[in-house]
Amino acid sequence: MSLSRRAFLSTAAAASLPLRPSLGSESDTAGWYMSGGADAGMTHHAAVIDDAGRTRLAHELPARGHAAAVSPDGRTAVLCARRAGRFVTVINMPTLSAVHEIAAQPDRHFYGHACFSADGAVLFTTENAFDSGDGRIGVYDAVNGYRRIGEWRSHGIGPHELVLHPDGRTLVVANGGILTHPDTGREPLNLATMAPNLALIDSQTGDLAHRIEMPQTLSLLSSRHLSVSRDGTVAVVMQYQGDESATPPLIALVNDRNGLEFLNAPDPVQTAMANYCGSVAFDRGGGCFGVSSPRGNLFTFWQTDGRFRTSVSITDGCGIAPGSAAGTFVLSSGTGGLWRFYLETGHLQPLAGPIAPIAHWDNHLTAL
Amino acid sequence: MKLPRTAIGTMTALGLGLMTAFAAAQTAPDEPSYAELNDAIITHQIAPAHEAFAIAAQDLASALDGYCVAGTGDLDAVSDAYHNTYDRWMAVSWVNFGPQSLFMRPVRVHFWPDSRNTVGRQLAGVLNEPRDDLLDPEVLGSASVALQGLPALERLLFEGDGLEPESYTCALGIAIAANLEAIGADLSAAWSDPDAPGAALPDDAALAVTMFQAAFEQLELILTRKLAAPLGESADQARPRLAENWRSGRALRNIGVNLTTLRDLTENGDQAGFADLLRDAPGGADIADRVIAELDAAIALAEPLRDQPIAQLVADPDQRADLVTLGQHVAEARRIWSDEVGPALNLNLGFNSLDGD
Repeated sequence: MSLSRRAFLSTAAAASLPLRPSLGSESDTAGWYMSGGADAGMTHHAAVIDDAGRTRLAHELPARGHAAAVSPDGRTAVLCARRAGRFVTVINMPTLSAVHEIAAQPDRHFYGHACFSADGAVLFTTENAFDSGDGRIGVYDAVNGYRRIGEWRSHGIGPHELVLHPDGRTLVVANGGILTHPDTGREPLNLATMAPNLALIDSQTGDLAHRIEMPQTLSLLSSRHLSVSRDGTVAVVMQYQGDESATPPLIALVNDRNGLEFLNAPDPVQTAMANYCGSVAFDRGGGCFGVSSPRGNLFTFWQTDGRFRTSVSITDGCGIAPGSAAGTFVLSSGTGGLWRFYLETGHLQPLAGPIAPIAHWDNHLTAL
Repeated sequence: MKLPRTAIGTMTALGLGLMTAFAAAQTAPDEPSYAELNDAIITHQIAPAHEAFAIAAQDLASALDGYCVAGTGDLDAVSDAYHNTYDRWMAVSWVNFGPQSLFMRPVRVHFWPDSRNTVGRQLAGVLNEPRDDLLDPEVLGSASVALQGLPALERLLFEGDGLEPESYTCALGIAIAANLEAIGADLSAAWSDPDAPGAALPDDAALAVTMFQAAFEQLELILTRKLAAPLGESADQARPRLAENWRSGRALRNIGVNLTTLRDLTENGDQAGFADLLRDAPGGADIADRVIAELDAAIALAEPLRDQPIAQLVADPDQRADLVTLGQHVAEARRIWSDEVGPALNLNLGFNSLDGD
C-alpha cells in the first residue's frame, strides 16, 4: 500500500518548501480554507490551506486557536483564541501575513468565534464578561486598527458561534447557556439553571430582534454552533450536558421565528454521535448541510428540509466547510487528515497536500 | 465480590487519562515505522478478515437459497452460515475508517444499538404488507438501513415462526444475504487495494492514530454497550435485551471475537502489531506485556460463556461475577491503551473530541 503513497508524499514534500509566496507577490485565496491546527510538537498555528489541501501558511499562535472568520471581500481573515483565550489574530490574505493581534479587555475573554459585518468594516466577537457571567458581543473597527468601539449583550450566557444572516444585518448568536469563569477554567458552573438560546441581534444597534429558547425539557442541550444557508435557514447543533445514556436530538433547524425543528438520525447513527456536535456547515447551494460529531468520529449529512442523507466516519473529524461546488464539503480531522466529500456519489477524496507542519486540524474549517 | 455498580463506576470513570496523552512528545516512532505498522495490519489482518467476511456472506446467501428455493438445504446449515457471517463481521467491526467510512457500510451490515426497535418496527411493516421490490438486493441496498443487514436477518431466523421455504420471509432473507454479499465484496475489494481512491485512507501518521483510536473505541464499546448496559446495577436491574444479538444467543461470542481481534492487532505471532512498535520504545515492552495480559484474561473469561444466553448470564450470581471480572479486564486494557500505549507511541487521541467546544 504505502509504497505509492509514500513516494507521493515525498515528492509532494519537496515541492512544499516555500510555504509562503515570494516577497511582493499576492495570493488569490478564493476557494482556500483557514483552520487552527497544531504541529507534531503541539505548537498551535493559524493555517491557510489551498484547494488541493496544501498548507500555504502556518502562523504560530500564542496558544490554541479555535475558529476563523473571513471578511466579505476575502482580503482579511481572523483566527480567534480558543475559549477563555485572550487574542484574535488578524491575517492579510493576499500577502499571507499576520498584521494585527487584538487583545481581550482586562475583564473579558474570547469564546472562539467572530464574524464580519456585511461591508467588512466591523468585526464582531463573542466574549465573556466573566465578573457577571453575561455573554457579550465585542464590536471592533476593522478599518482602523481593530479598535474596540462598543459592546452589546449577547442576550444569554456563554455565546459561542455567531454568524451574519444573509439579510446583511441580523447577527445570529448561539448562546450555549453554560456559565464559566477563568478562575475555574472550562468547568460548567450552572448546569441546574442552563437556558440556552439563539439570539437574533440587529448588527447596527445591538437591539434584540428575537430570541428562540431551547425547550425546558432540553435545557441541557448547549446550542454552540450554527450555520446559515443563502436563503436564511439556520442549522444549529448542540452538545448535551446530561446523562450519557440519553439520546436527545442534537441538531435543529430554524426556518422561521417559531422555534426549533429537531432532527434525528437513524438510531445507531444518532447513538454514534455521542451526544456531541462540533461544527456545522451548509454547502454552497444551500440545499444540504453537514454536521461533525468528533466524539463519535462521524459526520452526518442532511437535506435542508430536515431529511437525513448519510453519514461518513472520520476519526476525530470536526472541521467542515463548503466545497466550491454545491453538494460538496471539505472535512478535517484532529489526526491530520483533510478530505473532499461528494454527497451525491458518497465518495470521499483524501486531500494529500505536501507534508505540512500541521499534524492536528482544530475544530473549525472556514472557507475563504 | 464486587458488584457491577463498582464495575460500571470503574468503567465510566476512566478515560480521563487521555487528557495527559498530549503531554508526552518523547522519542516517537517516525513516519516509516507507522507506515510499516499500517502495512502489516492492513495486509495481514484487515484485508484477509474482509475477504473472509465476503466469503461468509456469499455462503450465507447460498445456504438461504438452498433452503428457501432449491429445497436442498436445511435450517441448521442456514443457522451455521448466519453465525459464521456474524463471527467474520465481529472480526472487522473495530474498523471504522477507510472503506468503512463510506456509504454507511457498517450500519447497513449491523444496525445496532437499536434502542427504539427500529429494525423490529420496520420489519413488521414490510412483513405485514410485503413489498416485492425489496427482494431485489439493489433496491434493498438503498432502502432503510435498518432492514438491510444481519440484525434484520437475526429476527427472521430466531423470532416468531422462523423461516418457511418459498415464503416472502425466506425471499427477504435471501435479499438481505445478497445485499451483505455485495457490501462484503465491495469492502474486501477496497481493502485489497488500499492505494485506490475508494479506500479513502489518510496518510501514514494519521492512519496509525486512526487505527489506534479505533481499537480504543472498540474496547469502549465492549465495556459500556455490550457489557455494562445489559448487566445493569444489579441482577434485579439487569437489562439483557440491551445486549448485542441476544435473540441468537451471541452476546458473549461477539465479545470474544472482538477481543481476539484486538489481541491479534496488538501481537499475533510473527505478524507485526502495535506491540512491535512498543517493544522499540523506552519502557514499551512492559506496557505491551500488560495490555496483552489483560486482553488474554478477558478472552479466557469470555470463551467458556460464548454460547450462554445473556439473560441467564446476567441473572446467575457466579456467571454475573464472571462478566464483571471480564469488564474489569477490558477496563484495564482500555486504560493502558489510552494512558500508556498512546503516549509511548506518540499517538494522540482526541485532539477535537476531548476539546469540549
